[in-house]
Amino acid sequence: MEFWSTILLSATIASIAATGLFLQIRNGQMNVGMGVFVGIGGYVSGLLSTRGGMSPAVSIPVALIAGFLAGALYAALTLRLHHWFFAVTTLSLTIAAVAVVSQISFIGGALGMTDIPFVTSAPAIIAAATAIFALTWALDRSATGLRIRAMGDDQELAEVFGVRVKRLRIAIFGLGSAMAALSGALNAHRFGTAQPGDLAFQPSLLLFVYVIVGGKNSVWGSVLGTFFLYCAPEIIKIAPEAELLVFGALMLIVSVWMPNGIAGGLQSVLRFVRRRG
Amino acid sequence: MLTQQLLNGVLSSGVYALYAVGFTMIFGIMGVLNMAHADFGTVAAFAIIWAVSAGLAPIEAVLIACVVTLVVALLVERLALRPGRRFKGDAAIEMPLIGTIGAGMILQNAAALIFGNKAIVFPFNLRAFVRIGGFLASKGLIVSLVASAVLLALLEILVTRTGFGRQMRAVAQNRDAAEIMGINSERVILITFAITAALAGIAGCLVGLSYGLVSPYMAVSYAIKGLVAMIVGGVGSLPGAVLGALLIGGVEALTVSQFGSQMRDVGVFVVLMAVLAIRPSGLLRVPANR
Repeated sequence: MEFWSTILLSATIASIAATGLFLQIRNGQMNVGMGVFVGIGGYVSGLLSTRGGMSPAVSIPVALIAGFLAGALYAALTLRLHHWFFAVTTLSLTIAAVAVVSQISFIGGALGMTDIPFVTSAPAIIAAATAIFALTWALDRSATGLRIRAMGDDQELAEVFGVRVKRLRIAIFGLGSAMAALSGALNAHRFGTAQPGDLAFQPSLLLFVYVIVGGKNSVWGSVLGTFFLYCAPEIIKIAPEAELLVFGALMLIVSVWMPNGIAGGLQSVLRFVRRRG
Repeated sequence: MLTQQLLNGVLSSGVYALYAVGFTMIFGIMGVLNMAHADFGTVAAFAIIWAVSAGLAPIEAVLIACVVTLVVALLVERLALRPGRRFKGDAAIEMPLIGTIGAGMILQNAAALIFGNKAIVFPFNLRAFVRIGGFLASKGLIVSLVASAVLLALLEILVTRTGFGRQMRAVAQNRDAAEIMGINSERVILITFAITAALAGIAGCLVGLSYGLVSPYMAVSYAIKGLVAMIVGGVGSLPGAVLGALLIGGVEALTVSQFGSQMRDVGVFVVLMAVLAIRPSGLLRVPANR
């Protein structure tokens, strides 16, 4: 029971970042370096609550703002880039970020920070995830959500129809990064650590896989994908390499046969059942 | 000291150029990035390791590596890239991105499962140093630079001087028009893909040869350098890819000498962002009719 509640809470925290990544991918910004923004959240909140003497109740929101600013800055720098190029820059970003963070001895260098106060409780995690999910769901259904979708489909066309592409790209990427930072901060205060590895390519790739396999076309998809891919390996207990191999195969399957992922698959099954019934 | 560092950078850029050229050719002809491209190098290197440990002669090992790499590459093309060609617009770009990332994960982790998640000694290596006019250079890196230069020259001749090269350029420019002119574009794409896979395979083996070690996850860092070299030089241009690789190699060597080897990828990232900000189409702007 203890074991499963830990796993499920970890999945809940990861789903916060996955929801943010869902927004960014929907926006047309293929971010394969989300770990950087998760890491920023953990480090900022950790630093402020240990070296800065702030209460975590203040430092976590500050970390959220820091995540937003970092994301907005990055989006502003990469305004002109689409899909591929954006993906390549984020890939390069995670590798560079890990190198930089592990060089700064003030924040613990390669070992990271290990004295962050433990404050994250299960209700706080669930409340945060629910709030983030509700916010994203509402945003996705609003007029802005339609603009985001239009922009993700075809940026030039969206611009022709009066979508303020630049502003939206910066704002939504910032918002997604803020969610990632929140998940990083919650994790840092849960385990008491923030490490350079949090920013690395591996966790970023995992988040990307969660969203894509879950389904990049609905808010449910990213959450579903996170919980499914987080918990399934714990049930069948396989080596991490085998786990990643299976995830790779899932990506391949999703890209060819199920472009809308698990959520899309479930939706079409539901539609089929309803038509029959 | 500075010259020595620059020399190291130039020497290591040969492999980057091989990877970058593969990325840029696939992008030019199919309009997609093959994120599993650098993994073909890992596949070739591990095929050689397997064949040698199975007691085969070096020449047989090389043959086996060729066959294995080509089979893997054609499977990746068939499974991850061809389905996307049915679509138009953004789906045609996104699907192969996701599919080839998946294929790369499969290849890396299959290698890690079979050979263990650690660096493995490559059976052939040329790690000795030679002295050229007061500077030290690793033999393996010299061999890899020369081999890359020869291959790239051959490739440039293939693309610009032969009938098949003309077909490739026609498909890259406009696939439908090329089809109307009687070019079998699927065949051109398949052969191009096989050529790039061979280049990646050779690059992977050159890495093993010059550093003496290969690891299942090495492809990620080479993929980044190849991709960045491609973007920096100008997407779709072969000379651009080579120029980009030289620049990346030089910047990397300078970063290592100034800030330590931990920072090598930071320099690469800074160059990428600077080029994208100042000259987004790359250093060698590709004319529209190329």
